[in-house]
Amino acid sequence: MSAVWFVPAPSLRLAVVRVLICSFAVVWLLGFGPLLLSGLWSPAERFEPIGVASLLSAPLAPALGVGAWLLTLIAGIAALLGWRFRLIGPMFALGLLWVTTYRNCWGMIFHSENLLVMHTLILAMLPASDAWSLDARRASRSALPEARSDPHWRYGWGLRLMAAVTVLAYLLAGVAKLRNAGPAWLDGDVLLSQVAWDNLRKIELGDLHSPIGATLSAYPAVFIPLAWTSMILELGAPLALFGRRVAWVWAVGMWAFHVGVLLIMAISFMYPLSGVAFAPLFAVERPVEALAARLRRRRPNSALTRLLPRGSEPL
Amino acid sequence: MTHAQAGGERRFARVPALLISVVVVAATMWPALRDPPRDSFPLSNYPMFSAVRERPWIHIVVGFDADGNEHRIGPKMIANAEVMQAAQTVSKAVAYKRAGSLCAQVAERVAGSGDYAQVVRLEVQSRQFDPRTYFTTRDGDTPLRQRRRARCEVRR
Repeated sequence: MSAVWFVPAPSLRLAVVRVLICSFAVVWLLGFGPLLLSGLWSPAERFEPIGVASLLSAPLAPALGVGAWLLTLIAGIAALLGWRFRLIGPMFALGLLWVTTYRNCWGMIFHSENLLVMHTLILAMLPASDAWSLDARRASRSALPEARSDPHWRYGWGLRLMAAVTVLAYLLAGVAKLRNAGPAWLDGDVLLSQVAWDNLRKIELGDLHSPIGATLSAYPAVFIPLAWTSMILELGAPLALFGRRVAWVWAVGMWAFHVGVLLIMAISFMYPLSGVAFAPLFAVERPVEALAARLRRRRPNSALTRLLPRGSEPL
Repeated sequence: MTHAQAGGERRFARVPALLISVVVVAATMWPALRDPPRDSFPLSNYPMFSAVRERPWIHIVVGFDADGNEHRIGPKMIANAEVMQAAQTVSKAVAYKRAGSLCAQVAERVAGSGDYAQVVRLEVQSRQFDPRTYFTTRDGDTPLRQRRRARCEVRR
């Protein structure tokens, strides 16, 4: 168990994952801001609370929703910078859980932010600001900095947990397909009907559809390898936990799957498309360190160079 | 500190991490293990793209001008910019017998929108299509069957 779960990792790896996840979440909160805020004024009769919002019997006053969004955004920026992360991290995670859950309380449950929220909740429990953060900078300036070994399992187990949650989400999606459609899902016909249905629905509802998906509907044979590939990637997802090379193959395959969904269904799962969903599987600190080293050589005094970390040193 | 003490301390420190891991993994799998599986947020059984669709019904809001020509009413008029949200809003309104109320709400928004100046009345309709032929046959986009769920005027 120790060798699989309590794998030592550098503090910078966890810090880079913090920066990636919080950056994505902040951009998402800003980008979806108009949509999230306009939804607050939806008619009360459409309110169908789920998850943590099940505590409510009626929608909140819109001003409270605006306040929750704004506080979550501010907490997200603070968490990104690693400022008072032990307090701000959980506040941000709970705020994001609330904002995203509330968005799903109007009759439609989206499946595009589940992993983001799960990762943020896990991140909030971890020492993710021990490097590349304002917390780390403050600690390094204090008279008695806390001695910590690095790499250490305390930086590794949470990343394993995030990676496990990622692969489980895909595994469950594969299981749902087999449970609902059975082996017939593999003959491509169910996938074809899903693609055609989704595009025709968009046309009938007066929205943009994918012309590529519409055109492909005339070629049923195309959907057989697509169905098999997606099923292999989904059911084989747990293998990504057992070796970085397999993880690379799987993550690239899954990313390509999401690009395909975007192209033929005009549905965007932005978290995996950004690659951030797969970051906990990899040594993501290495490209950051390489970039920092390169910039230090070429532009030692630039603002960007000062922002990037020096190995596992503070901000 | 002896090696045995250090080892014991390390194992003890790992217990909370292990407990949290077990709880999170179990919670992630829980929606799929329930009978029937249950979709929620952020814990889900991820049922998207899994349903078998033979000849499904779609529920939409259609606009008509004074000459009886059809105009598609976009998702922003129904719910918001998210087409899936709009689709669910119309579906739920039909399922819960609230199509008349939805029609009136959409008519109010359409009346205030310059994009639909020619639309004089709305209908909430259910249409049945065959997804396999919608894009591949000449009359595939003609509904196999159609039902009017509600009708309302756009008052300006």
